[in-house]
Amino acid sequence: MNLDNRQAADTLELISKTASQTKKSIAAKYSSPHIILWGCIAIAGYLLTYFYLSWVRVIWITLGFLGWLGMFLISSYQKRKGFPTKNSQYILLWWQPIASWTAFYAFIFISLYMFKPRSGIVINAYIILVIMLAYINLGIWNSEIFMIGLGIVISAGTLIGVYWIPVSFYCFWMALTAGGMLVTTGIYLHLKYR
Amino acid sequence: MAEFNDIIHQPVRLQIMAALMSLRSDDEKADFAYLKNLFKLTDGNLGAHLAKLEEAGYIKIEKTFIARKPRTFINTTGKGRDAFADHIAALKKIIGGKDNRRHNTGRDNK
Repeated sequence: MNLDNRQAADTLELISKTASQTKKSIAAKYSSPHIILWGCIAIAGYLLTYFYLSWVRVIWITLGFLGWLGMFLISSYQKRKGFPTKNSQYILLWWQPIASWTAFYAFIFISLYMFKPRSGIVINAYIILVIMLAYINLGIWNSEIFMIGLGIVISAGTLIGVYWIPVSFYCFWMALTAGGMLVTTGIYLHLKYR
Repeated sequence: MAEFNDIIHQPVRLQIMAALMSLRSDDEKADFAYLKNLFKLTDGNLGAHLAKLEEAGYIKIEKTFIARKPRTFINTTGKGRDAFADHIAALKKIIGGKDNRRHNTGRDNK
């Protein structure tokens, strides 16, 4: 078969687009249920905090644990189902989610103990910013633009909440910004790549 | 040596190979239903193209049961990865350095 320059370039372009589309759709299929889960956790957490402020620690520790448990169950289901892909070499070891959960909370508790933030809102904002930094880094390493965007938008929303939103509306603002953005992005990705 | 490949060059098969080459590792396999949705193909159409690629030894098709349901997984073979890399090299040779765009072709092709 004889191809000219233009046809060869178009073919390479098609290969490039297909590879990129495949990577994006696989990443979206795997991550959208997790993003929706954490969005629901955030909405529930902020609304419960607003109504039961004295239970704030119990609420967030319980919801954090439920979130990690949910992630583990979703990952196990995705792996068992083998959709969209199956990787026989990748086996989630039992200690990995526990180690990851422990490392995350250890980091948060140690840094909060060291820096002693002045209020509950600042503590909350700090935790959200650490999580969003992880999102942005994951996005950079995996070339997932939606993760980077989500991290930046929620970080900005959090900072606006700390500096410009009245304290009494902070929980509603964060339920809308963090929770709402996560749920919306998760649903958008799910529908776009279904 | 860079070799143009008529089997791979067919547009649907080219996209199938590009999708399989973009998986994270040689060991990862794509689900049949996922590829069907990704390229908006019918079962028969995708099956025919996969059969052609399998016949050439470029892909491996694994049929299995998950939760009592039949499932089909596909991944590339070493021969398939080499043929795809050769095909890309042949395309780049045709362009002869006149095309300055960067092409993301999945995993690094040697």
